[in-house]
Amino acid sequence: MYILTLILPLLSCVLPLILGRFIGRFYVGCSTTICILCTNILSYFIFYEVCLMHCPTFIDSIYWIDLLGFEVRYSFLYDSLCSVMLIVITTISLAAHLYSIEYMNSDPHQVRFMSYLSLFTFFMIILVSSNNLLQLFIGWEGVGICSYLLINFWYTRIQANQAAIKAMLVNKVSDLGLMIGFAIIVLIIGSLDFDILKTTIYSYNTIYSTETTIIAALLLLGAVGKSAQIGLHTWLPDAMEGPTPVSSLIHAATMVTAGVFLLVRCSFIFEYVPNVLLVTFLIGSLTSFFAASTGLFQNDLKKVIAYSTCSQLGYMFVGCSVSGYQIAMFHLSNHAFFKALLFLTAGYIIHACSSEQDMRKLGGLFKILPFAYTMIAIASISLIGIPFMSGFYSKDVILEYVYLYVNNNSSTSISYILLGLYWSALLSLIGTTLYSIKLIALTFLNQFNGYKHYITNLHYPSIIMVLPLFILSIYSIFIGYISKDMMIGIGTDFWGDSIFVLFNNTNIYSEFLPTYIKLTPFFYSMYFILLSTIIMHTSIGNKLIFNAKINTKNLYMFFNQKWYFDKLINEYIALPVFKFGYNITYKLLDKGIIETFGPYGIAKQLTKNAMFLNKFQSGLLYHYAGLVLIFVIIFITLLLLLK
Amino acid sequence: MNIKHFTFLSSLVLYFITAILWILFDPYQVTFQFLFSVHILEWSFDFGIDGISLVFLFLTTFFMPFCFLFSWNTKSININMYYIAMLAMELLLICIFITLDLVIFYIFFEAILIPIFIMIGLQGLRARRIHAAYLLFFYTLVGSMFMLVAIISIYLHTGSTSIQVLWFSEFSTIRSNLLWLAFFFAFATKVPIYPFHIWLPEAHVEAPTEGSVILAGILLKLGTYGFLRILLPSFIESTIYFIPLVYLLASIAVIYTSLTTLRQIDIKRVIAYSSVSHMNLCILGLFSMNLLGVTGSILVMLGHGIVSAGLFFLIGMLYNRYKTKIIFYYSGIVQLMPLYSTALFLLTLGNISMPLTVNFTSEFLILCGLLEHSIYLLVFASIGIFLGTAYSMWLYNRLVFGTLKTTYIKYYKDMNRIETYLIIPFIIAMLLFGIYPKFLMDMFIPGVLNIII
Repeated sequence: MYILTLILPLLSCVLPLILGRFIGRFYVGCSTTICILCTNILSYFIFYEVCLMHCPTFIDSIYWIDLLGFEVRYSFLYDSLCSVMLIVITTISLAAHLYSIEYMNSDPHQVRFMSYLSLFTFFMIILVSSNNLLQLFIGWEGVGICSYLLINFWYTRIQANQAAIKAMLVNKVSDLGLMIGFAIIVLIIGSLDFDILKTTIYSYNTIYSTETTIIAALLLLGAVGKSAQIGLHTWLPDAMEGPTPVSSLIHAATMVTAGVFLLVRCSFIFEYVPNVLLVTFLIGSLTSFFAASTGLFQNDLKKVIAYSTCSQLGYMFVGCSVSGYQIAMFHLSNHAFFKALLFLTAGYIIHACSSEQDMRKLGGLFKILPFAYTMIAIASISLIGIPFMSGFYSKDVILEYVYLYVNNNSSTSISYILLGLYWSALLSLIGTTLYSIKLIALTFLNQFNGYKHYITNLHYPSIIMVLPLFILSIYSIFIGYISKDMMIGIGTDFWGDSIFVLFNNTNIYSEFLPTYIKLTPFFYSMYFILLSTIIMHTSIGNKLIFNAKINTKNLYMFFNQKWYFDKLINEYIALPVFKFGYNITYKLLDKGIIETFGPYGIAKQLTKNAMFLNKFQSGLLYHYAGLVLIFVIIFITLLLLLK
Repeated sequence: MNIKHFTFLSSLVLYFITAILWILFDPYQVTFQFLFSVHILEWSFDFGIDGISLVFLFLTTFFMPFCFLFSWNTKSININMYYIAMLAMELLLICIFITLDLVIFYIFFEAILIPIFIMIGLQGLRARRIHAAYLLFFYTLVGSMFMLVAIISIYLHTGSTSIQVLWFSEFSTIRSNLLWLAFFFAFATKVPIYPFHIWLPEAHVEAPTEGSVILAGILLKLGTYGFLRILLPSFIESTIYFIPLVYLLASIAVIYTSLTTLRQIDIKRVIAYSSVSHMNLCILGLFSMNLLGVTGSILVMLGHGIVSAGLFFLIGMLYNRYKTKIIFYYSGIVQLMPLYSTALFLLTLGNISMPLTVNFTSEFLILCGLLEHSIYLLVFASIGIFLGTAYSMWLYNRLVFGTLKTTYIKYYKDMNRIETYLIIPFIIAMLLFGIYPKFLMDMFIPGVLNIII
């Protein structure tokens, strides 16, 4: 049953590639969806057996590398962490498969699309179910390759090609950090299995040891690249070039959460290096603020949701950094559902409005697409953290944990920096509220700003696209409440051995914080909803903004151009490298210096010398006589000198 | 039955013999197996194989049938000379890999140049080919000159030219260093290490497809085979003395050639510079003198051979159709040649060293082996791997994706049956050795232990 979760997605990937031409798109869609449905059901059984019955499973298999002393086997580990991720991955994969049967109906390459989605699911399942770091890396790079193939799905489009290469290269930077980290682990400990690492890292190092810090920092680099944190985030917004089911599967729910998964899986390393956890805190809160502020100024429907993903991933990093690995996983699973719902509903709108993605050209869809409005409203209020929806249970708890962490460290020298990072997380909450409201307002509540043919060609999707949205909406309302006590309740033993937290880093005291601290996010979000409603929908608010004399162009461009990160990397890093590669290494060195001191130079010099010597053979007798005379004189002089 | 069938069958027979050798090989024996001696007048020369030789024998006999298969349908006047050159090359390569004597090694090391010169100089079509053949000859001959002097010096010192005797003889420090340098120059031009690498892009661009395949697949490995067989076991102290020099040159080359690749316009030149980069990564691993590094480097040799040979075959298919190797004319191939694009994608994944291919396993082992010496080497190797992804992805994207350039190329034809069946074993070999490299590692680990202990 456990290996079947690997084989079924692989089968559903290979089948369309080989037999797709003969079966036809309808049966391919059905068969891939049924395979993923079976995997989903199996993941629920695995959850029941592993988590509820407390029975983690280990499967050891053949050798991959077997040198004398360094062994890597193909082995799988199914524990609570893995099974939670399996449920998330397979449910959203099932929703994406079912959805894309209809969404990609008019695309001639639908068969290839379904197969790539299944290939992605296969690699992701390898990532979460592996028992050693090298096998995790197979899944890690595999999902990178799949994201390249899927972003590049419409391959005649130049922006899609550029975005795919960008995603590959930025992910590769993080992969290199990861590989160097693995090499250090092999050197120090001699094995990459989680079983061995869990026991030896503890006994090898005390807290703040150098090697563990380097290893943890490199693993963090890997996670930062994959989860699009600040510095290596440039690929995520451009990855919206792919079709919408791709965005929902890869860039909302599964691939970008691989970084967070790595952090939680390696919690036994990170717990011993508080320095690296501090850096994680810094990165996470800066990312969430940066992404929220940039998402506020975007105009494309999918890009706003992409920045929202980036921001929430920052939240998960913040959760990990205060040793709240459980809350990070909880937020991961909640976020996956409502983010996938957001993306798929955005796809619904785009599909219905003849592929229009710009929010400024939509509007007034409140009466025309009521189902879409309902779904976006459910997902958005879950995202904002309105009480008792899913997002409320996870987001607010993260902020409580952070407050506790800041409070406990308020006597250290960096207490103001920590306080600033707490405020940055709060500001990102405000940003989340504002861009969710902006999305709903511009797309649904506004006046209709589009073209006439959007209305005349309006195409209501059928039950095939509606059913995944409906299921995801049920998840995004109820999953928070259902799994809250199981995952982050006090004294729960749900996570078993999979997450390791040092005894003095526990977060249970957050339950006993004063109520006004715990309600801070709620008050902020309510206030800003009220404020934005007043500004947008009342005449007083409109006049206030219209008459304000602020030059917004530079501010707008700064945020819209993603804080000029892209420009920085392109002009100051990439372009000089290219110029170096041609002017210096090729023209100056290869074809210049080396050839001059090598064959070309030697050939020319030899020719010159040969021509010089040639002049002595002139054929004239008196030249030869002159030479003989000169050498006789030299010879006699030498003889006389030597005497 | 004409000459086409005869040469193809004979190369298959040779591959079959190698397979039988593999089966009969005893992985638990540390010494050379299948020893035999050839007596000429009063000299006797030993031949025998080791685990490492077995890997290279496998590479050699694996590629030859595909080379003959690739030119199955071309009609050219010089086809007989081409067959003679290829078969002669196979004979010489097999002899190099099984010889245990320095003089025989030297003779065949030089003799390889003749078939390659014939293939590049006479088969090619551009005036620049003379320059390329001249460069190839010049570099190898100058290097081998030093090796000849070294071999004569060894014979005068030890009285025998057998490699097994050389392994256990002692030299004074200065003599050992000088001999090391002489052998190093000979093999460094073949590998190719940094200042001696400029013959490689020229030779690859001007050579016909099969010539490039043999050149990239096996001839580059002659240099590293020489390192493994002659240099590392014989002059251990000198090796340790000169390791910083080798590391410097190899690290420069890994990054430098990858940067140069990004700006090339000729597809073969891109793959040629990528070959230089991979082989220098292999040298980095080879000189790390621990089990992980040397194993990784032998696997890189295998993986790079398979992937580069496959890539050259694919480029040859494009060249056969459109007679141009410039990237500018190709775009959007996937729309009309989907099989070709799939094959090119899988082999490009090998170039990038994605996990599940043999290139990843090997490069990871090299990284683990390098760490013992210095962490900066790791950074350089990683930057080299990153740039490898960059140019491979760039090349693949440029060729395969995008819109068709119908102003230049009007008729597209996908891979025919011969070409498909030719490429599939490369992909299978790359994936098989990546998923379960234990087949190979059991064979050559005793040989590796011989070297580093």
